[in-house]
Amino acid sequence: MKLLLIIPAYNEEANIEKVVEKIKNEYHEYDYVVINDGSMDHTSEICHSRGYNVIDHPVNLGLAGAFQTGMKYAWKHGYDCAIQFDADGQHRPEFIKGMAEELEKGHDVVIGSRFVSEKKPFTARMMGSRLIAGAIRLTTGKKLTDPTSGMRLYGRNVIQAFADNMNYGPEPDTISYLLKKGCRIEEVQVTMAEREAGESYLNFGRSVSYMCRMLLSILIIQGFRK
Amino acid sequence: MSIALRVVLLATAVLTFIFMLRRIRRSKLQIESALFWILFSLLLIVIGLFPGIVIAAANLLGVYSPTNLLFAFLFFVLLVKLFTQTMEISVLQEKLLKLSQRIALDNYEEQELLKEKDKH
Repeated sequence: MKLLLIIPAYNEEANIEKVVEKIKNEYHEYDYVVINDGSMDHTSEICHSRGYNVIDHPVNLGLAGAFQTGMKYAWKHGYDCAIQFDADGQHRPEFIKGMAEELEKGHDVVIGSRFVSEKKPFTARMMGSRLIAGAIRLTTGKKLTDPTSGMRLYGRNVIQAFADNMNYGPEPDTISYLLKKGCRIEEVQVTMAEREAGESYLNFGRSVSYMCRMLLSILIIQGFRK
Repeated sequence: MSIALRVVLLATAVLTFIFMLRRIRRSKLQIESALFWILFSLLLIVIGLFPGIVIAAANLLGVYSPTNLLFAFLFFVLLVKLFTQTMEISVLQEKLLKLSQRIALDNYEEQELLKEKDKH
């Protein structure tokens, strides 16, 4: 099975080298592509000087835009599956194998979940995660333990939809939409590392706004989509 | 608030709601952009169904007529929306400029390379 790691990177000069080197040295069975989303730091220079497989956006398009570029690449180059892999070192490549095995059992999307067998802590962010999981369960009947996990593996039959269509961002509302359309989605237990360096995009205000947008989208809008 | 005004509010809200959802169904509108209008129409529906909220707010703020408060409120909401959109458009124009210049320069380089090749 041909598997591609899509690594969206925006101002990740502190982490990108470590993340890509680990894949190149220890996991050469996987292909990867870095999508440099118009970074203002040295992300692009680092990738080019080390000879990484990198696509540069001339302007910043945001995570959804960068991920979609990766999906277009995956579709064009005939990959059987593609995984979103964060450039900040949070996602660990040793769990990809198990996710790929789950996908081969006939699933369309496999989510790397932190809480299949582990307990979800009672932090503010995890309360948001519970709300989103509740909204998805209410509208689709599917129980997901970690809907906001960014580590998702997509099979070939959904790659094209992500590559070509509007409103297919790599977010929980798209997952709820796929569930409604009858896609088979499963979760696999993974462990995630803390971000190694640099700043997280999500501060408290942004997290709250993100939760509200996701809940509105899942509860109201997704139900009316074709 | 008159019944006529409440009916207009509800009708506007329902039409906006339907229009936005149809655009999303046809993949002509990003969900992100539609969220404001979905919230806006929900707000109009709440006000249309429960005008008591506006009346209570008018009493609290000492505004003579609830209808005036409603108009001022909607005007303010739309003003803020206009303001944020002006900023968004400005960013988009800057991106478009960068992209066009980048493509133009890349094409130029490509043609120069071809000319060089022809000479040899």
